[in-house]
Amino acid sequence: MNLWEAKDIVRAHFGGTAFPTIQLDHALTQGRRMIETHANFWWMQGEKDFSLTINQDAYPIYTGDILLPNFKDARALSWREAAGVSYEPVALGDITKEELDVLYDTDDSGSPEVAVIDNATLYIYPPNPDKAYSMRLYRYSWTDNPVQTDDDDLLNFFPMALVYAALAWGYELELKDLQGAAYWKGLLGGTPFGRGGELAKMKKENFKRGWRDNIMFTPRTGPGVGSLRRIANLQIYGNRIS
Amino acid sequence: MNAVIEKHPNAAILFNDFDFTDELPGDTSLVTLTSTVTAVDAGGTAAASVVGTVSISGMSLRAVLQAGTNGEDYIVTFKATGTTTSQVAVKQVEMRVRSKLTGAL
Repeated sequence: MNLWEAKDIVRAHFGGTAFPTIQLDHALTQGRRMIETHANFWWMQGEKDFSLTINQDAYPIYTGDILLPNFKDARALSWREAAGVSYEPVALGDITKEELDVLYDTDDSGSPEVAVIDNATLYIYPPNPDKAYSMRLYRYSWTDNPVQTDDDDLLNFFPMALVYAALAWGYELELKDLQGAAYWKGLLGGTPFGRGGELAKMKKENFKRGWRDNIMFTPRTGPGVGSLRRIANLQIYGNRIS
Repeated sequence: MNAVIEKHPNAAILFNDFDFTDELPGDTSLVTLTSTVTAVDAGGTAAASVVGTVSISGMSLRAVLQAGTNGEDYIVTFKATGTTTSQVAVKQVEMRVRSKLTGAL
């Protein structure tokens, strides 16, 4: 389904001219954001190459060499010599910045070993890179709706998710119809929000794609015993964001 | 938006709904050279091909709206300049190009 078709479905529920197009565009933009808040979906994946600067530990995510203004989440980080051909992994996000600041001296030098993203800045440790290493950041980014006459994976495989999300936004903010908004939100994410509807289907598909080829361990004792990683488990992503 | 229309991609229609008498009360005619009709698509890219012949009749600025890509929503801007006051007034029409007309406007 192209974007204009999703637009026309939303329009059909408001009347052809009752929902101004500029508001409709906002509804579709915010609808996509509502969906992408719920999980890191496959269409949000990507990678970004950049270079370290000798003796510089901090790299802004949104600007500078990395320049990812729609950055959402990091998946992995690796490095290689500028003229090299093989990448080495960098431990990313396992340790907090305050811990790394204690573990490394401010004049420690060498190739990247550990990295952490604090707010919107990527910090490399040891904090004084001895060379201008080539880096590759694997990330998830917030995405924009495609142009009017085009589609993407969200519109291609789960178009009604975007339609329901836009309708929920429109009923709440344009019509001030909270009961109607709750109805469309229910179709989007069920109750509790995120455990049913289109979102549950999308998360299952997302999980299947991520699951393939991964080796996983299922805890049989301890506090994680109930969190079986199986397709039918809709709590895979937790319920903290709902 | 001052008007919304739906048009088939193959249709070429004379859009004659914009009279600027109320917006330019001190004028009785429009300046041909600076009264223009332009169009952009939903992404904001100029779409000159959907605007055909532009004409003026008294205080009305008219244009033939033509062609367009199926599924696209065009914003067509009519900019009128009064002959006496040189004041400028603007009206816009949203033109939805659909090969299957909904007829729901």
